[in-house]
Amino acid sequence: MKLRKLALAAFVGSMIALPGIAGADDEGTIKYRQSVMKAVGGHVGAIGSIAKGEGGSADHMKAHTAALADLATMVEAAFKDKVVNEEKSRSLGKIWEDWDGFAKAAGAMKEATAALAAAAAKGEDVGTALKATFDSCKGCHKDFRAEKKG
Amino acid sequence: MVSASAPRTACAARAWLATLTIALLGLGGAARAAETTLAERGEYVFHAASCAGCHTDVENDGAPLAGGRRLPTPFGTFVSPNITPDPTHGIGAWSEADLERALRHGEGPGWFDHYYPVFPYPSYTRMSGEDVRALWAYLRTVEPVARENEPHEIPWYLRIRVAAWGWKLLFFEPGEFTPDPARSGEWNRGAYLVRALSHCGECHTPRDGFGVSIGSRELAGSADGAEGKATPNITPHEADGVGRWSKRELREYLHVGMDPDGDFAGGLMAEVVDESLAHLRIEDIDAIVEYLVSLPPLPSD
Ligand code: HEC
Ligand code: HEC
Ligand code: HEC
Repeated sequence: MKLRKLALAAFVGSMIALPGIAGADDEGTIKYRQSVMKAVGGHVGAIGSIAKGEGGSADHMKAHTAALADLATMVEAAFKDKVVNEEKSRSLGKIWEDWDGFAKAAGAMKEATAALAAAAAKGEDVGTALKATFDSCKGCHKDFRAEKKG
Repeated sequence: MVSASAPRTACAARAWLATLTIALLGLGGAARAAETTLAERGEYVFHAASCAGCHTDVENDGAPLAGGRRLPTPFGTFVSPNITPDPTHGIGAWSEADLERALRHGEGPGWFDHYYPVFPYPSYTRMSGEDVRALWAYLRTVEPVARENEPHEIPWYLRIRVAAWGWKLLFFEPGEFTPDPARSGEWNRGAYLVRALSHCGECHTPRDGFGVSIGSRELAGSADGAEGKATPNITPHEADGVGRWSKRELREYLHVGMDPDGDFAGGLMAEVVDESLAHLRIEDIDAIVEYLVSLPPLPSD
């Protein structure tokens, strides 16, 4: 039992220590920011499903909108390291050339999702906040993400 | 406690459902109110045809339809003209027939005035006479702006419009859309929207070295689509296209911009959604979907 734990610790240690396997290398940087975005997409997809009555509940709605607002506060930090890789990532170099613009787009998402979560928590009309949230996604993707390839 | 709050929660949830569905499906907007006048119908055509995006210098907060947007192509950078009703700098001195000739034949009112196909008249040529008339009525109601046109940044041998004339002679087939009687009314409406008004193929169909859309590859995506950027394959191909998307997912993407992964459209498609598709009636979105899913599934190159 103890040996197993030790082996696991050694394995995790080596993963972090060895560049090229894991840790804060370029591949890891891309992976992390994409994971954050995937999580964002997951919550937004779930919110859409609840909206259409496909599943979930009012409590689920509160939880998803709160998680989305939380994630929004991580976007700027998740993209702070410049890594451009046309094959593995659709992040454009423009993100770091126009960091203020990118931070503003992330700010718009923070604001819109905070309003969305607040409205959902209070049981108020969320239509406007939801539309603003969608617009914040499109706004940043339009300027800072490469087009999807055929 | 539970019994007291449960009905309230259920009620609140229903309220959410209603507003969310409206927001998600974009069913609440004023643009979807029934059009009564010819100009109002023209505004709908104008949105469906996405005229505003190209003719407005969005990046520099230009006045609507006053031109100045730069459109990079493999042949150089074109600068869109002013199409407000200003008599000197716009098309205020034009007649309805002039607009019809421009849209249907790619020809201006001047002498030897042939347009380059960056102006997507190879799609607009298929517009119905009724839609052209309505569009003209709407364009007359736009605020005139006295903004002078800028020359295109293209090689000198393209600036004289012989090249545009030659291109049309070789590659351009004018002619109104003719419905396929073997298909449903919805399919034909979708085909008309995709191939004439919304000109999806101008971006999603690959072009050959002469800038001609390759008909056998309709909507199969392009490595250098509009403004030199990639566009995805939107045929119903399982692996390369949108074959795995349900009709409902396609409808949502087109009307709101959200894909099946909760991801949102970016690039020029975000503009197409915001400027054009979000303004359409849900029946028209469904017609587009009906047409898309009927296409032959093509693999990407
Ligand atoms: C501030 C900019 C910004 C905002 C705001 C933003 N995104 Fe993104 N998103 C990006 C960038 C950049 C990428 C590409 C990441 C990469 O490939 O390196 C991306 C990628 C994605 C992906 C694909 C992830 C993957 O790799 O599979 C999804 C899904 C996504 N975003 C959803 C959303 C949704 C939903 C919203 C709105 C709630 C949103 N994004 C808001 C910048 C943003
Ligand atoms: C001005 C160019 C342009 C026009 C016109 C255009 N599209 Fe697009 N479309 C794009 C681009 C670019 C993307 C990739 C968007 C991205 O990267 O997020 C796209 C993405 C899509 C997708 C998502 C494909 C996927 O795999 O994610 C669909 C579906 C689509 N378009 C359908 C249409 C339809 C239908 C029309 C006509 C009503 C149309 N498009 C008109 C440029 C265009
Ligand atoms: C993809 C971009 C694009 C779209 C969409 C587009 N245009 Fe244009 N348009 C252009 C360009 C570029 C020119 C200039 C062509 C040339 O000089 O050869 C032009 C030229 C014109 C002209 C001629 C103006 C003149 O002074 O000679 C008119 C009129 C016009 N467009 C109207 C429209 C209308 C109406 C729509 C919608 C139905 C539309 N355009 C959609 C790009 C576009």
